[in-house]
Amino acid sequence: MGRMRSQPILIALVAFSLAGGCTSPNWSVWQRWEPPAEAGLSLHPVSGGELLELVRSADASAVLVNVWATWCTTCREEFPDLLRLRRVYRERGLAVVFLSGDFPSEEDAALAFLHDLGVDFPTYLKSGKDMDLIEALHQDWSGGLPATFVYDSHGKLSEWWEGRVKYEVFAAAVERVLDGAQ
Amino acid sequence: MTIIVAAVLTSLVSVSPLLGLEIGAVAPMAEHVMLTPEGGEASIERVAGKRGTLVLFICVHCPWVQKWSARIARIADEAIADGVGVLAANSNDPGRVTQDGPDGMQRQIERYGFAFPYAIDQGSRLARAFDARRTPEAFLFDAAGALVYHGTIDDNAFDEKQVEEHFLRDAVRALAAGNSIEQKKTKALGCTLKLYD
Repeated sequence: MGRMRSQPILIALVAFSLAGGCTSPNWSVWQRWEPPAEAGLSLHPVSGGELLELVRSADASAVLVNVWATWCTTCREEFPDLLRLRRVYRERGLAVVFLSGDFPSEEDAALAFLHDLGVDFPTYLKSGKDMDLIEALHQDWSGGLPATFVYDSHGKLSEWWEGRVKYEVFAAAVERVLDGAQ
Repeated sequence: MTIIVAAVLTSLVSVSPLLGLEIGAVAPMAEHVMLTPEGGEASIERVAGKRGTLVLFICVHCPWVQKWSARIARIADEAIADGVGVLAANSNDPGRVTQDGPDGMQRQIERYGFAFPYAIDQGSRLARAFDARRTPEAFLFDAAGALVYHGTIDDNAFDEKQVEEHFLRDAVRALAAGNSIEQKKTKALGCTLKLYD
């Protein structure tokens, strides 16, 4: 489950294993929204059900999940806005989760893109059947990318969009959830 | 007006309703004639087969379409041979995605051997009438013109050898054989349509 693609994470995993951990990482290690700095950029395979578990167990006032892919132009265009959103609202309790829908062969391209944009925290890669992921996130989502979902602190879906959305729309949705969490 | 309302709902409402055609719905704009990259004309009405009609929304640039194109070509060949007409439409605005212009479509036709009309959905009129959302997206209608399958191609775009469920192929075969279709609605990740404004 915890396959990693970044060197720092690989080192951390080896250390974890040598320290008595199992050979594959414990999922709870990767369940943190604010992982240690040395965790850095990484891609972790996750299914739709696991993603929802992550959202529900997040210690955050709001969680934004963005499903993207390297080949998706509108996803790439939208990405800087989502990183800005994370910077602006992180201290108020927003966690941003990026889930790549890339094919397994595109993992390196996904990591390169994330690195170029300065992403320095763990992200996720779709695992399992597309339909399971789609139905887990929303039954009305056609599967088109990008898709973005905003959850409250209890993991309840507040708003979602299919296709590119402007920063202001995301920000307003996040503010509504954060205001409601106070 | 309906399209404007739908667009507003999609962008503003908390949870968007699924606006696509429901199973049993009749194909909209069946008589709508579109041009093909070769300069021909095509419509749903013109390609309709004696056992049904398959309408596919595809495009050139989408990696999901590219992964599935060879399979789409084979499914279409089998469908046509079994009396199910096939029409594909590219509803993307090449002003937004250059690759999706007529030249790209022509190369796609030749590369994959598409033996069915591949129409330019100018103005995205057909896509809006169907409320198609992504590429690839398939709509299969029976001989009476009622929608019997809506969804994706199969359950593994990336690796054909690992496909476990051949959704569209099985739906076409069932329709051609006069059997009921087990999975009438399926989904997969794909590219959102880049509609004309």
